[in-house]
Amino acid sequence: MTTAAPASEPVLRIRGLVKKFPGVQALRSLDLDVYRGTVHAIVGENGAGKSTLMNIIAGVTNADSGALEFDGIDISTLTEQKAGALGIGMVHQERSLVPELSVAENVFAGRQPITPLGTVRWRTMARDTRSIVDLLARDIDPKARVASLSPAEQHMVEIAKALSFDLRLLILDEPTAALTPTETERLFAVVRSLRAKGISTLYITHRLNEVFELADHVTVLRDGAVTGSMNVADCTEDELIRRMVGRALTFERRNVPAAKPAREVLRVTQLRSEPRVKSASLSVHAGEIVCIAGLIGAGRTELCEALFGVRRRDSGEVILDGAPLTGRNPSDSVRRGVAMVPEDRKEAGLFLGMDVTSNVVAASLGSATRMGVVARNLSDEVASRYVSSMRIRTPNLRQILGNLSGGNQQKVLLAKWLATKPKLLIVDEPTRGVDVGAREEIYAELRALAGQGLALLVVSLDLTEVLALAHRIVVMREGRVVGEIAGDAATEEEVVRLAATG
Amino acid sequence: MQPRDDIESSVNPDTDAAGAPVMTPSEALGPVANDAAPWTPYRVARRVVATVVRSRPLLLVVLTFVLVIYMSSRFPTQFSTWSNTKAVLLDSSVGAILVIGMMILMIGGTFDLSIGGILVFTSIITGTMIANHGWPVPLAILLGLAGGAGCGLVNGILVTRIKINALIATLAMAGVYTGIAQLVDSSGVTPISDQFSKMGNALILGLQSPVWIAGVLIAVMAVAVSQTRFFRQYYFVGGSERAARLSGIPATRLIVLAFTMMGVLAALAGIVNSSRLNAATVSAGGGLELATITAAVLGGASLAGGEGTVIGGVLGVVFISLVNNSLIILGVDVFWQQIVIGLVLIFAVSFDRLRQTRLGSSG
Repeated sequence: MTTAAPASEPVLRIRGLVKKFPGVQALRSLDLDVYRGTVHAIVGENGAGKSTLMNIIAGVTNADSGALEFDGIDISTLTEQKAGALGIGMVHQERSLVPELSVAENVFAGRQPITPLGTVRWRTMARDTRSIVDLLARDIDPKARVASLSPAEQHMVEIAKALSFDLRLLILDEPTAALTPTETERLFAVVRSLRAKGISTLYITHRLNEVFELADHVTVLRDGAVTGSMNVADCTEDELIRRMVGRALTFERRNVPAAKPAREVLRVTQLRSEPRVKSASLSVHAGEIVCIAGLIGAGRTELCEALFGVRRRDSGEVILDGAPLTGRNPSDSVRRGVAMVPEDRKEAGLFLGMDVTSNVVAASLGSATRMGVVARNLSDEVASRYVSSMRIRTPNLRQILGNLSGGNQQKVLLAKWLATKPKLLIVDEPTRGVDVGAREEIYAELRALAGQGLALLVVSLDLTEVLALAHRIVVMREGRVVGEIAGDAATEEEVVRLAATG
Repeated sequence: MQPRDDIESSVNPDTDAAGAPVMTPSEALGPVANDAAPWTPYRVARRVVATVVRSRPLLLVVLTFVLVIYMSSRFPTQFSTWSNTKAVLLDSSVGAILVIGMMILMIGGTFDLSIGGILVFTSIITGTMIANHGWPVPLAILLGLAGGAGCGLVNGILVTRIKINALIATLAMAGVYTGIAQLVDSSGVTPISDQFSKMGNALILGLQSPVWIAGVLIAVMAVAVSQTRFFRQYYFVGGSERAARLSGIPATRLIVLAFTMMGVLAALAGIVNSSRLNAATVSAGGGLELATITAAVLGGASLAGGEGTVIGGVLGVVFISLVNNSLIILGVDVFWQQIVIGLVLIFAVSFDRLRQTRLGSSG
């Protein structure tokens, strides 16, 4: 699968790269060589400097010092426009598409084919787009508005946009986070065909199995410096993890004590919430972690949102603790003891500009209020309890949340909802964008919560996560619950088979 | 599970797994073009209604049409005459010149509240140079246009480089420009000159010159904004400035340029207006920003940016002129004009909100 490095000149050569942001040394004297026609993976925890490095290579930002050469050309003062002209294409982790414009126009943004009068050649553009998009996903119409596509399809458009350049170096930043296994396979095929054409790929990922499946070389970053750069054929997953975190870390794949028969906290019968949820039935007991697995678009998040009251429930029955849940909005659900940690913590759950205490008590101000006034000392009491019990790493309770790492932000978000004393906690993607070390801590925290008798409903696209956490796995497909597997008996293959073929 | 899915999955499980069971907004709303189902009158009607409701400019055409038919049938001798049509077109021409610039700004995600100030400032400079300093008309006009470009450039730099919110920056500069105009000539310039006045009152093929100037500009800019790569960059900047920058589109430079174009167009509108009246007055700029933004929003622009067309904005201007004209013919108190236009704007925008919530958050 992986091949040894061809002894050719590197297409990209970086020496002594330094980049500082206010208060943070993002990159400290970093060296990197990327060879022609190879796939070079970059791994490292959040904050290791991967994205900063990619942004410098793609000309989004410039380094403070250091030498960058691309094909012998100095690119230390690159701009995005020049990067495109040189053949450096980057697929950003965040969306860089305009939802109201067509697929074709997004792919050729600012580079639409034009007539001598400057007007756009719409048909040529649609045809060219079709030929690129077809490599990735056959059913995307170049004339469709991007807003009408699913998130995974939008990501494919994003990748198509990078491919539309006359590429010599493709930079992919966590490309598979939003993709299903099939789409991932197709993307890998495209990357391999680029490699065959002599085009190099820089591949940032959290998923180490992808490194072994796709990459020729791997470079590990920690705290802005390279801690290892090697041929993939010569290294092991354990070694990568050790270099990433600086210590050996056993990734606990299974820790599923058999659920004791307990009080049923949630029972959902034939719930329908158009357009995404057709028919969902499931139950969650006290002390149990139930994971919802399924492909993108299967309606997992939408089911949770319907339970929480964010989405309308069209029909079906939701029983919480023996009484029907009839509320029509989230505040009714919170009153009944339901809490939901949403998928996108920055957009839908945290106040990044406020301090730790304010965030922890944000959903339970009642508990920190004395005679209608929010009491600082009461709030701090609540917050410090969670900071110590969840091992949230923060210098003090006044720390602005935006300065904490992703994993610690996620813990604060959990604390915020736990402070509402829920009976049922819904967690959507508990570790998205969280590094390996913090992941394990969040798993431990979720397990501990279940141990205290809380009922947990967890949605995750990451199957290793599902297998590591779940007492029971509920599989959804096209808006329906199509199966249920006991957590300790489940295999990845079994879940995938149910999710993909019903 | 539906039978169709079974067939697909048995034929090709790959496609099935990838083909996410996602319902697009258009499917949720009603029939789509490639639907295999037969066309019935009901389906056609639903589709037509859905299309009209979805497109604000189209809704505007329907409203304009309804207004014209109503007024023509009730006041055939006053409303549906050539002279009244000419009056409406003339009334629209200054607004149309302004709305082109505003539309480009709004597509790019920003706006300019100082257009009234720029218009007054430049027309008074032009007027005073001709009337009081004996400048030749073309030179004075060039000075006015250059002044407009300068004002626009200042606005653009304040908004993009110094990063002052467009609302604050252009509101403040509106006061500055108007104030300078009053310093130059507090009472306004009237009359300016016969030669200058002739330009704005010339008849060509039965229509006044401002209508022609606006017409040519509209024709050129409508094509340019919708079809040329250069102007389509504004849809990216307004749709998502981050996406634009990541696509290598020079957002800052484009926005500065759009403010500069707005300044030139405001100056042109002011010169056309003062030439028609043979007078440059401070009061000429009152309420122009509200009327122009209203027309642009009616014509499909949104304050969030990334949407709108020149034709839509022009239709908005014509609609507002027609409403004003109809109110005059109906003999309604002139103050009703503001009320009606304000309500129309609120109606159009709330209709939009309603439409978006109906379509759901996936759109």
